[in-house]
Amino acid sequence: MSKINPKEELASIRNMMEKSSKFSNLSGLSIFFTGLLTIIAASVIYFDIGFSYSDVEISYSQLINNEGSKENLDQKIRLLSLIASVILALSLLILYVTASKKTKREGIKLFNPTFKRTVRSLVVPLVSGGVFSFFLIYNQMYGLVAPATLIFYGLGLIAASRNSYDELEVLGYVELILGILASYFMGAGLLFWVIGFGLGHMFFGSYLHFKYDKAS
Amino acid sequence: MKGFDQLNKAFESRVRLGLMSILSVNSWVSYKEIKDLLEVTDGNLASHVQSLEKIKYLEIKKQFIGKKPLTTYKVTKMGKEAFEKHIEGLEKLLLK
Repeated sequence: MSKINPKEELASIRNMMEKSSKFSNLSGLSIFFTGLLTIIAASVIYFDIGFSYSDVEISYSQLINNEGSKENLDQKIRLLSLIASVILALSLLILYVTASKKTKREGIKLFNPTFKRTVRSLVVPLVSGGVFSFFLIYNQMYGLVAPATLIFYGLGLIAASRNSYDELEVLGYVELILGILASYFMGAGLLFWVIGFGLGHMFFGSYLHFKYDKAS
Repeated sequence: MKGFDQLNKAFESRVRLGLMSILSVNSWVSYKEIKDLLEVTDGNLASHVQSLEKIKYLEIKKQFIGKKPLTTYKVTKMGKEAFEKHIEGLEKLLLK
């Protein structure tokens, strides 16, 4: 009992409480880059930078305003979904690679209970959002897809924040509010998407980077 | 020394302190999860778990998931109170 260091002991208690209950393996920089990726992809679509595939211009504004023939629209929506899927897959890959590196360095497992809990809380809002968005596309209500994804993603983050970074809750509310605003300004959905998914993640990622990653 | 008398001898070891920290913020944590988090050997953890259970700070639940046995732990009300008092003691020592 002679050499007790209360400061060290309290620190280790707090550390273990955090480590065992919060999922914090995502690297800030990787989140930043997923945001950047989103902005690049969305800008290509939004500003019609002459990106075309078999004579179909990929243009968000044309899509929203139901311009062009039905066939044309179908092809556009397929192309947009393809781009979105590629971006999503790439982002997940970046997150996965960096997170597994980070956990290896810290000597903990990536697929730990807090990770599972975080994923579980994300799944319900995200899957329902995905299905809902699918039906929006199915019923040709393209303009509401961007707002809907923002809203459901925001709800997912708010739910996940209990098992992860507290700051996720803030990001969640930001996405939620952006989604609601985007529902009103329907034509500008992609712009809100750029703000929410792009800038939002860039800010959040750099915040995490400087607050946690760099500090440790 | 103020606060010193509030320290609990049961929490003197690093492993027990870590064990209580994990269980005070999570309920029903499996043996393997605890082992991974604390980075200790089987024998080491088992003996600490046993002694904490003996003084009724821990509750043990053994069950089967399919054919695999699963042992999970939870802190008892008594254990929680004891741990809180211990933390309080540490905090008081820190203020001095």
